[in-house]
Amino acid sequence: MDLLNFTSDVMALFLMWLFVNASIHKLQVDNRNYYQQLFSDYGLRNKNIAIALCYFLGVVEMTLAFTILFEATRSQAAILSVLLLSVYLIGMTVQLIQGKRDMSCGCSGANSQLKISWPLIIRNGVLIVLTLNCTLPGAGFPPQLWFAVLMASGFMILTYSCVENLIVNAQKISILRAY
Amino acid sequence: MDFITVSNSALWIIVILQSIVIYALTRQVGVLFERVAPAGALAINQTIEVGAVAPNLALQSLASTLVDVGGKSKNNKSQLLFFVSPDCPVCKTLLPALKSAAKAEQSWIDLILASDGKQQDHAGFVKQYELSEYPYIVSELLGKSYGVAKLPYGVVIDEMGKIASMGIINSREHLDSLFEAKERNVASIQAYMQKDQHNEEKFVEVK
Repeated sequence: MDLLNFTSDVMALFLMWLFVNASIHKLQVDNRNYYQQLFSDYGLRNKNIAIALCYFLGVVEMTLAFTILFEATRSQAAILSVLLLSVYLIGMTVQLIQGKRDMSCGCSGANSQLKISWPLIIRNGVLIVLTLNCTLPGAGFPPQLWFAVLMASGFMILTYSCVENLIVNAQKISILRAY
Repeated sequence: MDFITVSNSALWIIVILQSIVIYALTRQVGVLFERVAPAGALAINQTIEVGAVAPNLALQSLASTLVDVGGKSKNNKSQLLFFVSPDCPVCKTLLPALKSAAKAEQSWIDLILASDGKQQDHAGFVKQYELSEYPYIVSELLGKSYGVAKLPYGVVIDEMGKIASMGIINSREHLDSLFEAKERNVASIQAYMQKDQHNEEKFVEVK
């Protein structure tokens, strides 16, 4: 067993958490207006298409969350995940290049204060690179390693949440600086 | 269980605990930013409002010159109407900051000092605090027209004669917030900060 097989399992668990979270936000009826507005900011003005796309992405993310766990489907799920994350990254980059700054990223639901920014692009880039690790076969969650896999994915989840908080804080600092 | 397994498990638990602590800290820093968001001048006024046309008055200053308050500016400058009183301790504390701000911003704004009461009190006040280079109006009508109930109070009137920002001023920060509010075209810095956040309730509401 290689270290990369071990990290493939760790990343699979982490991505499961990430996609389940993202998916729940998109599938919640209460968030419909938020995502409709968000898609409108991204240039998709048709209300019905925006809602349909929101549900479609929610279902795709939920599917990816579980297919990436299993050895048989992990590689394909990882490639799809990379494509999905790349689409998000390109979408945000286009908005930033167009000069938009005061726009929610839509990454963590309606209550998130996260706005599109270059640090967010870097974070997503890192996420894509890490997701590529899942294209490799996992160690199969061996009993002697389950604890380490669980702890390492817990560490990844906490680190990801910390980075998200730090980006939000940095954006608040920039508002205060502007003041 | 051998030593390596125990040690490895203990280290993982420590890593996770430390990660939780770091996560909690980043959350707290975020909350702290919301709590200490800058508080601008407190814009309490029941007579005038931001964006409305400022009452246009032509009044005599202490130096016996006629001063136009409000109305479309003749020199394309804004006006900072600053209400003070000789018996207001906060006003006295603020005067150096006010003079410094007026000097720093003189390219786009004119400072006008306003008050009411007996003329002779103000003459001594102007002399003591070296305010003679700024128009000093003593008029009860001016205070009433601008709905000034508490001192020190500042009103920024833009070049077009509209109220750009206003509020009770207790510090240089509050004074600067009037200029910032005008520059950013918002009613107050509180409004600006709230506009910039999705969750308005999270900020300290001072308006």
